[in-house]
Amino acid sequence: MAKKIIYTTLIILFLISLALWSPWEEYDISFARIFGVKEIEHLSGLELFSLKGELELYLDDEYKGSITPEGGSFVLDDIEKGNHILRISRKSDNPNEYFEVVKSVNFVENLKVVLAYELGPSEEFSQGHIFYARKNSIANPDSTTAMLNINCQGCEEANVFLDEIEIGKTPVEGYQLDLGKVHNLKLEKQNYEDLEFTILPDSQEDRDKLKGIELFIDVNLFLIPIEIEQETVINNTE
Amino acid sequence: MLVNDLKQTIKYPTSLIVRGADVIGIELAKSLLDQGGYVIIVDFPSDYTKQMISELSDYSLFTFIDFSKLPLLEDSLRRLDYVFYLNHKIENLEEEISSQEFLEFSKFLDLVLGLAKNFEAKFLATTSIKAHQYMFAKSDYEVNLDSKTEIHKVYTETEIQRYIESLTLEYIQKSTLDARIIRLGEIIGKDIEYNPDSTVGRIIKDGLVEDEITIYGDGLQSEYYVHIQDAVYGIIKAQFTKNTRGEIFSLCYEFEITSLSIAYKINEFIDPPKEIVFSSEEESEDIPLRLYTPAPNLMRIGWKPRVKFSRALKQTFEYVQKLLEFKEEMIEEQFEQRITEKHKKKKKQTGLKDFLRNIFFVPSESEANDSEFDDEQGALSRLIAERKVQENGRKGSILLATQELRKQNKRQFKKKRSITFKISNFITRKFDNFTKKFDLLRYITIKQFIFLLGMFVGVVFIYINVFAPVISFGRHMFVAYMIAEDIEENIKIGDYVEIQTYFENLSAEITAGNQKILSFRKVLKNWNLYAEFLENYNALYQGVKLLDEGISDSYYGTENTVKYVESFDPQIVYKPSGTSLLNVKNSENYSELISNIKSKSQIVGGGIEKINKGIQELEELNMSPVNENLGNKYQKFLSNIKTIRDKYELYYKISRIIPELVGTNQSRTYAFILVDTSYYLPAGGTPTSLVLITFKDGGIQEISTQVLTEQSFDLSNTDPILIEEINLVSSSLIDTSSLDFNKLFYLQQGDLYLDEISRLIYEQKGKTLNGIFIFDSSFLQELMKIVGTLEIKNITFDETNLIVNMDLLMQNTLSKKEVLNDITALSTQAVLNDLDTNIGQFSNIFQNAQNNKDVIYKFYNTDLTTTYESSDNLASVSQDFINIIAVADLDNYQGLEIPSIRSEVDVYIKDDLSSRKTVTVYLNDLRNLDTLSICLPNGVTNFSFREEDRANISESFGQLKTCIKFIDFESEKVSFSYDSPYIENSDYDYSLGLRKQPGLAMQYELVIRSEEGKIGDYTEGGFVNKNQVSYSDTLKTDKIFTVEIE
Repeated sequence: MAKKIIYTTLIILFLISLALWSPWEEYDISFARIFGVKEIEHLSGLELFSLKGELELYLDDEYKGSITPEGGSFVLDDIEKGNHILRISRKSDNPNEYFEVVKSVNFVENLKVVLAYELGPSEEFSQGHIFYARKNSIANPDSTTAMLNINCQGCEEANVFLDEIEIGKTPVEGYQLDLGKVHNLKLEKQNYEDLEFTILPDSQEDRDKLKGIELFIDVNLFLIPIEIEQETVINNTE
Repeated sequence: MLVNDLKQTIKYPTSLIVRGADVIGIELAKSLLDQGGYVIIVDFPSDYTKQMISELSDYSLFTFIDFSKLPLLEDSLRRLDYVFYLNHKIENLEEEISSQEFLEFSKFLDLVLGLAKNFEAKFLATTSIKAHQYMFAKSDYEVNLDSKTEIHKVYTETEIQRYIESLTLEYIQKSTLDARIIRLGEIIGKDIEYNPDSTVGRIIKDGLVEDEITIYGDGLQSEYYVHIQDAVYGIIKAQFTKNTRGEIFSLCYEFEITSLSIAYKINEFIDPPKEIVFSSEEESEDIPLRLYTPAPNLMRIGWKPRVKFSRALKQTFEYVQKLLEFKEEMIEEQFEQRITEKHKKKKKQTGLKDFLRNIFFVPSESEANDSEFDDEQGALSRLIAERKVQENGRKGSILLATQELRKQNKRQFKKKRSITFKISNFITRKFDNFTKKFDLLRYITIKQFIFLLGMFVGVVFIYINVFAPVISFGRHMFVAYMIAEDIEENIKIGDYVEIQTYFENLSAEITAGNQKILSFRKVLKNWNLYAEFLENYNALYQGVKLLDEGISDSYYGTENTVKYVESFDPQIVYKPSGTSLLNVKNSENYSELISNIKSKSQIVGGGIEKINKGIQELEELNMSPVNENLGNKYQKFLSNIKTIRDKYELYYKISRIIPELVGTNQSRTYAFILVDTSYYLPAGGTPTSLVLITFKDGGIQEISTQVLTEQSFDLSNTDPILIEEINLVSSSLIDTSSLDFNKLFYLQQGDLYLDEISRLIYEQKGKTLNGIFIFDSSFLQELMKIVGTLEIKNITFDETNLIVNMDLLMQNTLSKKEVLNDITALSTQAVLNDLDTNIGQFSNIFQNAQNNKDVIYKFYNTDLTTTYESSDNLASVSQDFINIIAVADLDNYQGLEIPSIRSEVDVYIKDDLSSRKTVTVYLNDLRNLDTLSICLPNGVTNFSFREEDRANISESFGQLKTCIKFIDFESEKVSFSYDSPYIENSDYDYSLGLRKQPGLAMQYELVIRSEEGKIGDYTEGGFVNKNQVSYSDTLKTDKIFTVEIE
């Protein structure tokens, strides 16, 4: 009887230890992994457009490539999902001549991060946008909308127009974006150049991948330089 | 039916008793059945057999088969544990057996041994001691093995016995069969199968029915005996005892018994005793065997006869006595009936079977002699005949069994050709081979195996998908808890590299826990408790994820800043005797670090935002309902995160400032001027000490200190507008000739005096300033927290007594300035030489000083000018203002305390939003006051003064303001009223700015009243009562009060 109790206790302890260890969790059994190939479902991507000049892209401080406006877009397809540091700089003969964009961006599997920039000598004289996503684990996967957040760097209170309807001022948080069609987004602010672009993929199949996803758009607006006029200064010394 | 019965044997220990339909076999079967085993008896199905096995009719785990069914056992049985081959009984030792019979018998024995071997059963064969004795004595052995013998001898029963033993031993040697041989003595006792031809049987019969007991020979022929119960017990003992493989034992009383002893014993049972006579005739089985040595007795393994020989003999005597008395008539009737039936059957014989059967089963007329039945001992003869029938039946049955085996092999061969059989056989064979390797699976059927396999898969599935995730979730939470503890430890030691790693791990654990919870979602989603738990855990998950990302981003963005601060080491040296008190030894180039700071610090803002969002998510969780201790730990954890956030916020601020502050590829020069507030002036106090620092490529290129006096700079080129501004508050008229450096600090507008000082420094030293800082002695006293205790001119200075101890030096103003210059230099050295340690504290001190206007600064030619506006220009931010300016008499020291002043302002707003104000300033605490000026915006009118003040008032008009100056104070207060026009503003109805003079503590009471209309929105901190709002406080810095009137 004592032996039975001891054996039973040992078996229970073993099962609990095995459950604590759970080695099967560490093994992702799939055909792709067996053949040493990364599964595409776990990868994300990036697409960079240059609005002016040659832009260089660094991912986690590693140089990845460059693109010019004439070159279309620079695409990276094999980025591991998760958080990465993006740095975009404009090629020039003099260091520190142009503003550098440095961003921490979350990459979601099967979704591309899209960037388009024109980099000037400082942040105020640069413009562009970056479009990325974040997964919400308890979001309803059958939802037909995605949550949209818009942030304007250095240009708060910019007016936001979605399909020509004003939806508010930046920062916009938690706007339910209909995934049924492509949308046109426009940002306006006094003394800044307007920025307008389309968001969401063309095909419904690609848009459906965004269900339950939280979308982020970070925008930089170009500050319009003021014209200096000669003015008569009134000296009030009384 | 038989086959299905036998398949059930797999559940029970199974025993096979061959030739078991006799007393020993039945007793053996009972013992095995009582122990819960399954018993199969193989024998000839005669009436006698049926009678014997009827005693087992109450047992369900019993099967009887005849010999011909034995070949079926190989395929039908799933389990066989024990085989008993009972061949100890011999009716006639000299009975001849044909070679054919011998061959068939040997095949049959081989079949049984093979069966035992295949099932790895334990085998026990019983033979007769007497046969063994007979064999040695009668030299049958010699006859049969003598190759010179010309005539072929036939086999006898004794040879059968020998063959059994030989073949069994051969199986033991050449295979894995676990077998033993038991030689039984003559069975005696109650209910035995009485043999009147045996020695004991004959003597008992003589004693019962004859007149005398005949002993053949000298009566010293001896035999071995055993009681029937002891025999059964011994057989079981031998079979179940370990380590008896290959052994031959004798199962009998320890000593042989002579026939004469038996005769004497029998005579004890009868009355009167019979005469014992000796006969010289030889009985076939009474042979002297004096030299025979039996096999070791079974007592060796612990068996002991329980019934003494005398008692056993008496039981035998009594049994035979009863047998002779009761069975006579019954046996006679049954025997007659049997003879008749068999005679009839004989006529119907057709095939070989019948032919053989008739040979063996039907007693020949020569054997069944009617004359014998008439004998008064006919009952015994009938018993003998019955047993003979049984024995013959066995032989015949064995023959049939071997024939059946041949036929079966043919059928099997044919059967093997069908696919169904092939598959079934294949599966069964493979399954049996597989299960044999595991003791646990040995005795289960295929169905049971499939069921168990299914159960196992199910249990494993539940274990992996339910049990393990729950346990694993607990592990993740425990590890997360431990990580939180580690984070707290690392905050204490300031290791932010480790903190960042710990947060990564924490996020990984929480994420893993989240996945565990989500794995139950499909099943539990409709359970409210689960949904609530999932929601709460998701908040924790999102919060921690944001924290991880935020801290990671912040760490990445501030990494270079931390490196810069940690490696910044200018090695500033203090030289009291030098022209400049400070010199720099190390001008390291940090340009690469500075360049990285600028670019990477962009993400810190986003990182801190994520940290704040994460904190917000986590603050919404309440852990206290789970466990109070856990709730407290959780709050501590949140507090630790805020500490981390504050640290990164500090470094973020530094990251944004440093690149512009220290410059890259260009020099940056900054001036730091200490003003002594013991002489209160509009700009804070009198200038005392100047420190100039030039940065290049992130390092300090040059540093110098200087004591400031009135004549430190040439003010001959000062803009006349500044002199006008100075005269607004000066008691005497100042012009270019009387203007000195101290007078510059009469300016109330920061832009004016800061710009002028910059121009003067450039003029005198050729250095273009990128920034200028004016700080007062309160700020310097705060800096002593970093510096520690200093001893200068035998006076100790620390954070508590700097200003007080300055008093000791008041006798000599220059000496005081020199001491202050020393303290300024040493403070600068302490802060810069150990920037890594001091930067946090310095930043706090600076922030507080900025809030209290203990430091005023302005930047030039850097991007910092757009971020940090000059901090003393109230007129630029508020259109209506009251500047209360006190100017000390510089020739008289004012005292120990920080100068303070109290004012009351009453604002009465009329319908048209113009206002009537009354300003009262109390001068009780202000000593050595030279002038008190109250500057107002231009456009104010309708002044009214108190009579006692009129003589001491002058009005001055400057750039955008009008100043009312009071001199020669006779009362403790001054007061006046005036009208202000309405100043249009789209944001509010009325606003008023109060300026705080640096270095001067100002208490105020402000009341804003409206003629009509209630007070609506107003600046925080006021007390509203219908149409008025009141404020009462100490003015720490410039403040603007706004009011909406409904």
